[in-house]
Amino acid sequence: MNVSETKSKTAISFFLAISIACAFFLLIMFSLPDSLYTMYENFFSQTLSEKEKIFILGSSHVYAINPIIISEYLKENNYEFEVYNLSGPGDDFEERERAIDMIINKQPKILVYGIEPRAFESAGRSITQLPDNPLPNLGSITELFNIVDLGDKKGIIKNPKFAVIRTISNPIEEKNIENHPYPNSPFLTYNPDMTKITDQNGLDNIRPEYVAKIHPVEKNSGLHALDNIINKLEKNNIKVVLFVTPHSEFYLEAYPENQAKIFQEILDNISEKHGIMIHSLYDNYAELNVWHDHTHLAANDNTNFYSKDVTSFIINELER
Amino acid sequence: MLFPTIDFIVFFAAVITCISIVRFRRFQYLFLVASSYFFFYFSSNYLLSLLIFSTVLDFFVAKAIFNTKIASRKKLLLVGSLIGNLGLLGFFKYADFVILEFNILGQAFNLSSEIPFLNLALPIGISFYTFQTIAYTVDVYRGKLTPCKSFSEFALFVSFFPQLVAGPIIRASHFLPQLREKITEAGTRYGLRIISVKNRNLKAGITLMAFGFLKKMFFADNIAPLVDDIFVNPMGAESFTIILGAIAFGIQIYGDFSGYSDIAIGAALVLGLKIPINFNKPYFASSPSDFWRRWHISLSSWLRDYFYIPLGGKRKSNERTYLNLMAVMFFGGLWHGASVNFIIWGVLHGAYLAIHKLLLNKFPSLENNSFFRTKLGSLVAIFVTQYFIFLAWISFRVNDLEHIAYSMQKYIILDFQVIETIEIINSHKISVLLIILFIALHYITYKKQEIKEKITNLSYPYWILFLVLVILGILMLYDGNPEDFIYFKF
Repeated sequence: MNVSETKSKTAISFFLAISIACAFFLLIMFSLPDSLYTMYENFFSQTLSEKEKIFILGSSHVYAINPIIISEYLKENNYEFEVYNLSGPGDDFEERERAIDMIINKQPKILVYGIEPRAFESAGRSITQLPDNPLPNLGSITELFNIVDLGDKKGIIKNPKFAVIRTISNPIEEKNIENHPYPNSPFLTYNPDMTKITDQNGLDNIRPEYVAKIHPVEKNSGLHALDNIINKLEKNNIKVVLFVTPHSEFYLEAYPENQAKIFQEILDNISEKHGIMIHSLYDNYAELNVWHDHTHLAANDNTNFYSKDVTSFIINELER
Repeated sequence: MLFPTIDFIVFFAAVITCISIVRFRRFQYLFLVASSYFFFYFSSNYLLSLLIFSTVLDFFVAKAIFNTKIASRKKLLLVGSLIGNLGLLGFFKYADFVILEFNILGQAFNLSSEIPFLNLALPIGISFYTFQTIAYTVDVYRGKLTPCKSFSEFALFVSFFPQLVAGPIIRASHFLPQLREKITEAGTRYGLRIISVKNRNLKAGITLMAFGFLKKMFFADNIAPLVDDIFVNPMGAESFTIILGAIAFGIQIYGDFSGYSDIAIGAALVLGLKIPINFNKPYFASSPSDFWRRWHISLSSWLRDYFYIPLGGKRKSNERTYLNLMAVMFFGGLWHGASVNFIIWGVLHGAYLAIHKLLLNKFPSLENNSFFRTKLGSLVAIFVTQYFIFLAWISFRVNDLEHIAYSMQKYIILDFQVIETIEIINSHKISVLLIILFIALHYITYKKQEIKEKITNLSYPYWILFLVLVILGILMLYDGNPEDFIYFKF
């Protein structure tokens, strides 16, 4: 080591390195396309139907809900609505929260949200059974960047890895999806595989999904984001219908009991806080031979009952 | 408190600042003890009391052992300390495991009632600090160590925050003299040397910490999804998928644990205290015994000094040596956790060591065989050793016995199917790329041994460049959820 090197020079170099790295990081993040947000912007900038609207949100678990069928069922019950299935793969409440103003601007009459345990899980391994401490938790390193006004890029910086991988693996994702499973389902891509029912043997051979930890009510960031979404919708007089998406018996058997318990506590918390009744399809179809995989119903005419059940939740809300 | 969080950054910066400003030795030691307790309290709350109990117990018992002249009384005191420490460890870590096994046994005998589980919170780091305090008391008992006179120094040795929760397991004979050395040096108004942050240590410490964070957050955390995906349920997986999973997990756990050790050693070095290395390129080990000289060195040397040698080591018959090796590794496996899979892992390593020893005893010429001195020979030895090391990693990662059996069978008997393996590689491209990059870097650091020193000695512009690349790499692949270190639960 050079004799001219000093402690203060080392410390300054260290902070300089951190500053340069953070500056580069922000620069790269700002230059990455925020494809999801752009997709929302593209859709919501269009003029939608003049009819009253119902939006359905959720993850790929909601893929099998056909908005046209829901419209028809509603019509049979003398309700005239244009229904949109705005679900998207790997739906994330925090991502949705970023786009909630766009949704509100379109003034739907009802927003139906399909929720599942996965939506409240956090990636990352944590030690369980640790006693809580009363000290404040300052949180994740990327939260440091909250001191900068990140505007629309805030979501990207919350999970840079996701943005990087999305950009690397699918640089053309910004293009609008043109091939949808049904009309009025702008964020879903048609996948012929999803229409196929897998037999019991096939389901048996599918390895169960990795179950990440689901944080309890007080530490669950997904719940916090969903609370914000519901609050905003309620302030804008948009009715909210929540339902738990269906799961196969393979999934239910493998799902850890303690996780299921926390999920139930989360549901109770939402219900209590917002006075919303949460409908559940959690295990309604578990034993039926209608599954594409452990968590996705095959999207075909045999599973229209899914759309019908969701319609009944909507009617229930309309008649309240 | 996790290292990769704002909490730790703020905490560590505050500790260094305070230590640098208030230059009174007594205050510094007490402050470091208080900081360590705060660090521990942050993640363990009331379980801090166990750490304090262990500290108080061994401080006074070791003193009593040293002061007494009667051999039987010394032994009694030692047994008391062992019961206290191992009782604590056993109760908190293994009680539910024993209850579970007892209930299973009860079912076999058609017993109608079961013992309810205690569901105790696992005290983080208990395996590490109890081993430290046991080693201290045993060393005093053996007459190898004079008991520490200052309680604050001893408390600092037991609770020193950089290595408190996941090691390395430091020895009193290595750590305490560092504190005492400072006492004998002049330089302050007390005639005692204070803890001061020196430039060489600061730069080397930051470099080491950067390496640690890189291993943990860039490599291990981003390889973890691939490992989880493969081993969540390996039933039906192809041989190459299992092999990929074993390699990925081997790298994940190395990055995770050696990353933690690097951060711990680096943080201690910034404060001017030296902690010995815990890893030395274990995946270039050319025999099972070589592996244990390179992997978790502080644990393997502890097991050697406080378990293997007292059992007789290799001083007795060959058969006894094999048995001792098996017993030590069984215990080493159990140390990792109250679960059958860790016992299998330990037993496998015990078998590797015993068989290796047996082969050397039967064929003594093997040890000095000229073939193993050639490049090809050492490559063969490394490959064969690592084949078995990675096989054992399966039982470390997979909990279910049926899954372990299936995975090991697939690992050993290849089915030459690749369809699923290609799918998994396609869906985890980043993880696979990181595995390749890690192997390349591991090879470079193996060939150029002093790479950390070389980076420390870089001039400032290049050193800054190194840090920028490390930080940028970590941030770019950070998913917002800091992952626990695997060894936190041991």
